[in-house]
Amino acid sequence: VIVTGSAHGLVTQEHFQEWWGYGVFFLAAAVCLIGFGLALITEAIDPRYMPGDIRRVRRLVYACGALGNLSLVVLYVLTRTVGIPLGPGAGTVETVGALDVIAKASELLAVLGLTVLWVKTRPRVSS
Amino acid sequence: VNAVRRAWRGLLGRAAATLPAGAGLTYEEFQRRHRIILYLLFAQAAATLVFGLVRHVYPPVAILESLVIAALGAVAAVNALAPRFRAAIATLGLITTSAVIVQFSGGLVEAHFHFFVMLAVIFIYQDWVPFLLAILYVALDHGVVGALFPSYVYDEPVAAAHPWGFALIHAAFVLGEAAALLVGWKIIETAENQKRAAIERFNAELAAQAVELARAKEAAEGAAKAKAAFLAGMSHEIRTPMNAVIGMTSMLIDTDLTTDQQEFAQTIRASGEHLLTVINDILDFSKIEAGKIQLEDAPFDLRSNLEEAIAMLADAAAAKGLELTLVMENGMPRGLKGDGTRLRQVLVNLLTNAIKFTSRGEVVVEVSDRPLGLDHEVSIAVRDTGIGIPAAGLSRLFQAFSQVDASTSRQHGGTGLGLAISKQLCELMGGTVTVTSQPGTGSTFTAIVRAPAVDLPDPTDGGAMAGLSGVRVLIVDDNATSRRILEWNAARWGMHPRATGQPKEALDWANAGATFDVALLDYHMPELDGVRLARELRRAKGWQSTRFVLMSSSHPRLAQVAGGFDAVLNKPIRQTVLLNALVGVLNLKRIATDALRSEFDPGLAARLPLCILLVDDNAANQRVAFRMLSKFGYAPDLASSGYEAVAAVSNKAYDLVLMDVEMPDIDGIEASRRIRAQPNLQVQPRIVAMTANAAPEDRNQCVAAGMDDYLAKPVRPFELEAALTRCHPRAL
Repeated sequence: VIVTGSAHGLVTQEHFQEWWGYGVFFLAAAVCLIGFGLALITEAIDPRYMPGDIRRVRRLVYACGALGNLSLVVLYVLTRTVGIPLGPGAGTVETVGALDVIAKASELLAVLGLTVLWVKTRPRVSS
Repeated sequence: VNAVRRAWRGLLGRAAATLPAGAGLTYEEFQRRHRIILYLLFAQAAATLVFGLVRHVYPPVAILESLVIAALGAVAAVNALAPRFRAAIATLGLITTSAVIVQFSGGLVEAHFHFFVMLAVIFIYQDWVPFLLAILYVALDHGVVGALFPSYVYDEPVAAAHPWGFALIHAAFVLGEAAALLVGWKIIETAENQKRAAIERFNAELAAQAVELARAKEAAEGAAKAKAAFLAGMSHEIRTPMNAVIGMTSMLIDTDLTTDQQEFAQTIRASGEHLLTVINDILDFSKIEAGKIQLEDAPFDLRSNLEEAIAMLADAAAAKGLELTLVMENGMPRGLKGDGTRLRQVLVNLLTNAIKFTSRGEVVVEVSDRPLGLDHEVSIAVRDTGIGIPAAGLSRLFQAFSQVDASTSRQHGGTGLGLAISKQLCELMGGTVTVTSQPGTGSTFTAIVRAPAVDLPDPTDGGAMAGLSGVRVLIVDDNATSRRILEWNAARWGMHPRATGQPKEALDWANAGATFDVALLDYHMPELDGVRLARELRRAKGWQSTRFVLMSSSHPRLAQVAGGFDAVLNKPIRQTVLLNALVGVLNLKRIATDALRSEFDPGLAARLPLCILLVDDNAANQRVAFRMLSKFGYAPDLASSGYEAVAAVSNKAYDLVLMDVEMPDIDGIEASRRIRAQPNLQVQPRIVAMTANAAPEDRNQCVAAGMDDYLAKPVRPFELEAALTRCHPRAL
């Protein structure tokens, strides 16, 4: 997640130069992805500090993370097949780059990992 | 291969050991340091915006980037998140600030110094995660991206031509600073670890000591329990035979004995009672020490209480020829709420000491009080004219088992517990005991207690109404204190008192024509004793109808001299006794005096007929109680066990069951429960416990089992009489 977040961060300036909307999208994606990655690495949701049902909060975080990363992959596929949905480059089909591939591979890996975590933390039903 | 692997692991281990471990801050310390970084981060968010506008950056971009920094700061401020995550987010914010400043400056070299400062700031977390994150950020930007895509990072054409060279130069600067910071971090961490280890060692020692202390406490508590059980057992074992000794001796004294035999029997009883006092002192002291003494909180008559205490010591004072008097301040409350028994015990202790150490003169009890809010602070001063105490001995007075000097103990006896107990009891009652003394002159012990006043009727208030108003009374007593008390009481009852300390002056008054309705004459006076003075006064004109009352503390002789008097009173004279005596003599009705009265009232059974069952497994004690009851005119049925008692009560209607508690088959407690549980009894008998278990909890146990009253062995005749008097038979 941090790798894909960093990749988005690297191209933020470039996208600002194209249109402010693209720039904001990439900046937000970079910050959210890096922050999310750090939250996973550092176990940000810790029962010692956060009151309430920790398992539920964690599952919610995993689900949001998986869906977010999946959305980025879907959007990327759209921009490389149908075309960019909005902005000055709307309808333009982008080319595939090396950094894109690294970022999307990381996102798919993240979706897989987060789904596994979500499944593993589901509540057990006692017989 | 294994050797190489081991060597490699060893090398890695040593290398790891040279690095700081990190994440060693306490939560409180983390919060303190994190707060500083958050302030810095928010300040930089504002500064970035200003810097961007100054550098003519497109305003929406400047605003957006400063907002991103502020947002990271806001997330890092959320306390519900784990500290390490908050540190990582704050680090991200700081390094992003560096990147934005470099960006807004157009890649100025000077702007890069911001990053080096931020790297040092991040070190205050002393945690590898934020530290590595900062390094990784730069490595990704300048190392990976700068080397692979130089146009993203470097504007310089030279850098674009030699991307790896520039990446290495940047890495060298960053690693150099990181290495310097790591050394500093390691030094700090080592010092902190040493400090923490010392604290942990200290805590471990403390914990070990606490365990030891807990064990010692447990052992001490066990020993205290064993001691208490032993004392209770001993108390019971000693009281049981003492009951027989004192009881039998009391009855022996009441028979026709020669003078020598009377003296021997009196000595046996006095010694027995003294032994009992010693046992009680030791029990009380151990209970106070263990904090197990419970004071009663019930209304009591202060004057009666004090007079009873004084009466208990009257014989001892009389035997030494001492005047024993009670002086109470005007307007004192009649009733107090507290533990009257314990207060009496304190006074008895103080009086015992005063009499013990005074060979001639007087012992005066002076009582005063001071209102303190809802309470009264009552001071009971016992003043004697005894040997006094040297200043050096005063400090040891209130220590347990301690007397002023060893010779005191040999000469006067005593355990040395009385004063210690008195002081502790007074302290439990919100006061203390103080002492002032002058060797050769005497001592004054003052017991101070605090208690709320309660309204109690004064039985001597009716003096004036009883017809004493206007009665002329002559008081002749060489003791000024006694004289003052008699005068005060007479005036209070509306009489016209005239008092003198010299018998010859009284004779002069008589010869001069003065007449009185009643004359209160002290027996022991230096010039002329009371008996001779009465004889002389009777010869005076107008004295034939005068009533004469003799007052003395020496009982044995009174029987010989009492013939010529209308009443004979024992000193110290209780207020109620004096009132009764005056009313009695003025109605020309002779009254029984304390001195001539037997300990047993043979007419009690006739006035108060009771059907009594006496239950005791100990033959000697059963005999004592049986004989005492016989002396009061009763013929009790006997039972030797709890079973027998229950069966007897089922077969016959008793007014009173005198029940021993400790019995072999079923004890008195269980027997009482069974009697109370019998549904077919028409009227339940009154059950009075007679036990050598003297503790208050034993009394409570008896009450809980359904008993009505309680007598502690050894049972004294007056206590038994009081218990019988409290009984209301079915027939009445």
